[in-house]
Amino acid sequence: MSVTLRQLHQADQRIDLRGVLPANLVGLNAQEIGVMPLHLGNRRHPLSELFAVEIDTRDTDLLTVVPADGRIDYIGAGLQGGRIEVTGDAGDLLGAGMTGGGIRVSGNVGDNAGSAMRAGELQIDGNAGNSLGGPVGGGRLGQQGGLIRVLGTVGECAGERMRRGMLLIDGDGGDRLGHRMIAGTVYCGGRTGVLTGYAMRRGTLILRRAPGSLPSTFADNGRHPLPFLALLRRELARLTHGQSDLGDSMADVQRYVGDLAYDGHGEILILD
Amino acid sequence: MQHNGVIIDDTFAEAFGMKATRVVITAINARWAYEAALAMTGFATSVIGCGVEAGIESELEPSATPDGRPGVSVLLFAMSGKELAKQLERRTGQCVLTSPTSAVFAGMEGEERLPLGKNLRYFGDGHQISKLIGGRRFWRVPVMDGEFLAEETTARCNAIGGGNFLVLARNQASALAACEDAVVAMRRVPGVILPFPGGVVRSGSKVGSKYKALMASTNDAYCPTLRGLVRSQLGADTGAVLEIVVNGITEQAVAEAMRVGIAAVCERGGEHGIERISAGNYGGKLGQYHFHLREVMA
Repeated sequence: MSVTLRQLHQADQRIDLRGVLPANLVGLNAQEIGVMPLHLGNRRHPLSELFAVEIDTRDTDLLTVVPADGRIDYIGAGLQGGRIEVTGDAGDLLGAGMTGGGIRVSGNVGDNAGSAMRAGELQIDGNAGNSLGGPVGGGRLGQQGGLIRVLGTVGECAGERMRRGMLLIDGDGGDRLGHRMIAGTVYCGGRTGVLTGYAMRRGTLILRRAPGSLPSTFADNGRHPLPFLALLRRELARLTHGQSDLGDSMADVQRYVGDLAYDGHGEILILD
Repeated sequence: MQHNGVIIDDTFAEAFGMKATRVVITAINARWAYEAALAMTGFATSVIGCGVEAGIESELEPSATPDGRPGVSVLLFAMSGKELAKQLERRTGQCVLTSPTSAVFAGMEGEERLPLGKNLRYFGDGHQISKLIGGRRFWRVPVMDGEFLAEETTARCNAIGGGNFLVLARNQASALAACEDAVVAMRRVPGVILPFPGGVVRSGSKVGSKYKALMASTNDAYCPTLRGLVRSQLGADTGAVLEIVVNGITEQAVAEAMRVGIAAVCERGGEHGIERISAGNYGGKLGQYHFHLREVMA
C-alpha cells in the first residue's frame, strides 16, 4: 500500500510527524489515517487538518510526503522498514533513530538528519543542516550504522559522535566534519571547513580534496597504499549504484592520524 | 571394465567426512599471492602428521577477489572443526600475515564461522583498526610494508577427504607421466584439492603395522619390490604404482575429480604402459563415503 501525505498549506508552527511510518499505516483507510494525532507547535491536530491523504494499493510499504515548506520535523524518525520519499524539503531530525528501511528526500533537510540512526539508508538529494547523523540532544552516540548520503553540502559537525556506519557527502563538508567521531567512515567529495576531525578518537575521514588546515593534534603519517580502500570502493559503488567512486583505490593516499589529544586512533585520508 | 586397454578394478575408494574451509589470499601480483598460498599449504599432505590437508584450489583473476588484486583460493581440510580453526589461524599468522603485500578473505559463506583475522589482529598491538564494510568485518593490522588486511572470520563446511585412485603401470616413468596428466585435469574441477606433492603420492599406506607404535605402514600389497614376499595385488608386469588423493567440499566434486583424473590416465592407455586403475579402501568399515570406480566412470 502506498500512502501520500500532501501538506495542505504552509503552517505557522513546525509539524511533528513522529509515528507516521509505513508500518503504522498498513491496512488503514484515508479516514483512519486522517484522524491520527499530530503536533503542530505544542498543540495536537488530526492529520487531516494538515495533510491530504491519498492511498494507492498498487505499491507496497511506501509513504510519500509532499511538504509545503521545510518545517516538517521527525519525518521517518524511528523507521524500521519500508520506504519514505519526501518530495521537497524536510525539517529537522529526518530519520532520527531509524533502524531499517530507506528514506529519500528530493530537496534540502534541516538539522540532525539521520541522528543516531542504527541501520537503513538515508539519501538527501539537496543539502543538509548541522549535525548530520549526530546524537539526539543529550545522547552519547551519533550514527551507529546504516548509510547516509547527501548529494549537496552539509552544515557543521556532520558525523558528530559517529560510532559505526557510513556517511557520504558529495558536496562540501562544513566545519568540524567528524567532530568527536568514535568510529565509522565518512567520505566528503567537496571542500571541508575548519577543525576537520577535531576530537575524533577512531574512525576514518576520507576527503577528496586536501583541507585548508587540520587541527595541530593530527600527525602527518605519509602516503600509503591501503588495501581496505578497494573494499570500500566496491561497497560504495554498490550502495550508490555506481555514482560514487573513490578513484584508483590501489594508489597511495595521504594519511593523517589523530586526534592525538583524544586517543589518536582516527585517520584522515586525502585522495587527491 | 576397460578403458582404452586399461583395466578398471571393481573396487572403491573409501573416503572420510572432514571439516573444510576456503580462504582467498590476494597480493600485489599473482606471484606473491602464490608465495603466501604455497607457504600456507606447505606441510599439509595428511592429517595424520600435519594436522590439516590443504592445497591451492584455483588462481583468481582480480575481478573475482574482494580487493580487486590477483588472488589464490585455498582449501583446508581437518578431521574436526577445532583442529581446522587451530591450523587455519596458525598458518594464516605464520604464512600469510608474513608474506609481503598479502591480504586474506573468507572464501565461503555459512553459519559456522572460524576465526581468520579475529585473533591475529592483536599482532597490531593496539594499533589495529576495524572496518565494517558491507556487513563484513575486516581488520587492518599495521605491518612493516603497510597494512595487512584480514577478514574477521571465514566459514567452514562439511567435506570429504580421501577420495583416491591407484595407477598401476609397467614402470615408474609411465605411472608418473599418467598421473601428471590426471593432476592437470583434476585441478580444473572446482572445490577440490590434491594435497600431496604435485598431487601425487607414492607411499600409499595400510592401517596398522608390525610395530605397535605405528598406526599406519606401507601398503605392501601394492609395493612392487615386495612381490613374492607378501599377498601382492600386482600382476607380474606391474613395475610401479602411484596414487592420487583428492579432497573436496562436496561428494559430487570428489567424484567428478576422480572421473576426469581416471579418464586422463586412461587416455594414455595400455600402449603407454598403463595397466590398471584401482583404489585404496579399508574394507568399507572406516569411511562413510565409497566411490566405486566403475560407477564413477559409468
